[in-house]
Parts: sequence; C-alpha cells; structure tokens
Amino acid sequence: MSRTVERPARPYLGQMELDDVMRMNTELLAELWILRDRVTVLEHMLEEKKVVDRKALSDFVPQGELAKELERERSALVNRVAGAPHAKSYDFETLAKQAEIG
Amino acid sequence: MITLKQRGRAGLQFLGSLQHYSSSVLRDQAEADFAAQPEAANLAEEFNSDVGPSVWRERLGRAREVVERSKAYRYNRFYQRWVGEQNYIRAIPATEARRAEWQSLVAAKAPKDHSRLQLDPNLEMPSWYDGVEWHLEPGGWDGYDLTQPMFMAGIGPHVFALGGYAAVDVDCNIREQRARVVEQFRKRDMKRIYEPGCGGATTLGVCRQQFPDAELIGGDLSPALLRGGHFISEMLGLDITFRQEDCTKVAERDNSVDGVISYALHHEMPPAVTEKTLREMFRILTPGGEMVINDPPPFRAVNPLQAVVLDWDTDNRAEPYFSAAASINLAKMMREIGFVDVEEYALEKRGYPWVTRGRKPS
Repeated sequence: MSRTVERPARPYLGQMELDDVMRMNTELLAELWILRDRVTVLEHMLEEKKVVDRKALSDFVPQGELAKELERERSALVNRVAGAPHAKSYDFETLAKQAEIG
Repeated sequence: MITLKQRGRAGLQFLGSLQHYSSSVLRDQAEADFAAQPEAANLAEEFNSDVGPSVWRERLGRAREVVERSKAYRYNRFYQRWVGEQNYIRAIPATEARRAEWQSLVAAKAPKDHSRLQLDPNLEMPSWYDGVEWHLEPGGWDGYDLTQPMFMAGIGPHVFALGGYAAVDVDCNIREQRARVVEQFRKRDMKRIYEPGCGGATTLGVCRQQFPDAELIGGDLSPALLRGGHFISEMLGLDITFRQEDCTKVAERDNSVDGVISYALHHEMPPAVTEKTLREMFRILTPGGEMVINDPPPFRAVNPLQAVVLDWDTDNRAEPYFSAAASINLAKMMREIGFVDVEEYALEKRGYPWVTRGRKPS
C-alpha cells in the first residue's frame, strides 16, 4: 500500500508558482496563529500565577532603551520582508551589522 | 481523554477556522459570482434532469468553466485542498507527540472479550479498495496505527466538527445528522441491525441509543477501523459485533436482519460494487425489513456549483469513486433489485444528508 500523497498537477490559482506562494503564505499564517495562541496561553498562565497583569501588559508603553530596541527590531523585520524582492546582492559588511538584531 | 500539545491543538484549530472561512465567506461569494453568470439559469435547469455518467461528465465540464471564473471559488478550492492535506500533515505529528500516553490508555482499557471482534487475516482486499489514500490520509484507513486517536482528539473536534468539507455543509452538526439519519427507519421494532462498511462504532453507537435491545453487527474491510470500533464499543458497553468482511459477501444468513443502515459508504465504492452490496443487503433482510442509506447527494439533486464542488473531491481529495457514485440513481437501483416503498430526500440544505430508503416486500 502506498503511503505517499502527491500534490495534484493542476494549479488551483491558475499557475503553479502562485499556488506555491500561497502555500508558503498559508503555512506562515498557521505558524503565526500557533505563536499567538501560545503567547495568549502564556499570558493567561502567568497572570494566574500573579507574575504579570494582562491589563498592565496591554497598557504598557515601552520607553527608553526598550523602545529603541523594539524600533531596531521592527525596522530590521520590515527591511528583511519588504526588501526581499528588491535585494540584488549581499555582502559581509551589511550582514555583519545585523549581528545585534535578534 | 488525552489532549494534544499546544502546537498540535492550535495548528488543527487554525485549519478548522480556515476551512470554515473558505466554506462560508468564500463559498457565499462564489455562489453569488456563479448566479451572475449568463449561463447560470440554463445550467441549473439542465442539472435537474437525470442522465448517464458520460452526459454528467460533459455537463460538469461546462459548469466548471463557468464556476471557475470566480476568484472566490478558486481560493475556496485552494484552501480546501490545503486543509485536506494539512489535516494529516499536522495531526500525525501531533498524535505521535502523545503516542506513549495513547498506548498506555489502550493497554489499560484493552477489551477483555474479543468474541465480538471477528477479523479475517485471509480476506482478500478488493482491487478497487486496495492502495487508495482515502481523504488524503497516507496509507489509507490502515496506514496509521493511531488513526482512531488522531480523529478523536485532533481532526474530529478541531476541523470536522465545524463542517464545510465535501458534501458536509458548514456549521452543521455532524453528530445530530447521524442521529437524524437513523431516525429515518420507519420500522422501529428492530431485533437485528447490520451496517455494511461500518468503519468504527459511530453509526451503530447511534443505533444503540435508538434501538437499545437490538443486536448490532458491523462489517468492514479495514481491520484498523474494526479494532477501533470494537475498543470504543467495549469501553462504552455498546455490545456491537464487528466482522471483517466484504459487504458484497457477508456472513449473515438469508432473511436474518430487520434493518440495514449504510452511512457515507457508497461514494467510496464503484457503482457496480454498490449494486452488489444492495443485492446482498436485500438477501439478508427479513421480509418487511428496511434499508436506510445516507450518502452525498446525486448531481441531479443539487445546483451546478454544488455538483462541481462534489465532483472536485474525486481528483482532489482522494475520493476516486465520488463522481461515479453521484452520477447513478440509488433509488432506481433499489427498485430494480426488488425494494419497495423507496424514497429519496435531503435532510438539510445543499442536499446533505441525502437519504434513500426502501423495504423488502413482506
């Protein structure tokens, strides 16, 4: 008995490459949800143990060094994702500068 | 009950939500897009008449061209296929993560009485059945030893329970549907009920609720599904006998059962096998006995878009006989075999559950 399920040859969205991109997109959406679910469960458990207050977490406004850290991370993420189709080359110096970014 | 770890649970719940969105928002838009097409009214009228399989292929081809103009429909189908694959891609690792717990449970609750499980290691699997990856499950019904917990703790509650796949409409209650189908027996004084292709204990479990004193017997080709059904039946005290056998040649004597219930079986076999099965069920029914069938509706009973959706399952969700089954007329077949008082009707919208029932003459 076969134990391998093959993908159908015919694309659902008119072009195989478009199906591939949608598969990646949907896979990422699933991963995003799994992470959000985990964070919500984590918050709930920490609040039950009186480690964090979920309302305080929502109302918290990052200041100072924490605000700068978040800004750096956010910009790096935007550059990586939005810049992906536009990056034509990469070099050691540019990559090395990313060492401090999580 | 053993639950899944967070990653497995959340991943499967995501599939349920995506399938629900696809089957409601996108499906509704696809219906509206189809209705706006100039060919829609003529196609709808054409689809009302009963024709042979080759004419259905031609009709469905024309309808599909019109339906696929809708972007919502194309995305709906993309998500349906993706969820269909991901059910197993996510549920198998999630179940494996709990293998030790499941095995301990099975060992602790293992049935003591095996007299109600009759497996036949020498049974030859029919060629139409062997090697099919039913519903995109790798290895088919017998490919994974933890199939039952995978459905009970994973795909069942997190994905299937929301509906919106194959003939099952979104937001329907699949448990209630099963009970309503069993209620379609006009005969209520049953002594013995047989289910061909029973799989597990789900439908016969409902029969136990509605016919507490009847002897219940289920036959199936799959030893894995029969073992699972036996495990549940013994644990819940349902007192069901499970027998591995081909439903075209069952061990029951002539005129020996009052009722036959067939649930979502015939779309998983070629029409010629369905005919042999119906003849076999006619043989074992007592005079005055009744057969109730639930299966996806035939193409003639649904609108062209729903027919295209049902036809899609054949090539896209490992249902090799779905289109052939939807092209035949079960009620007519039953009458030709000798059943009387044959009726067919839908219990809910979009034609499912589709009930066909008939009696053996007294």
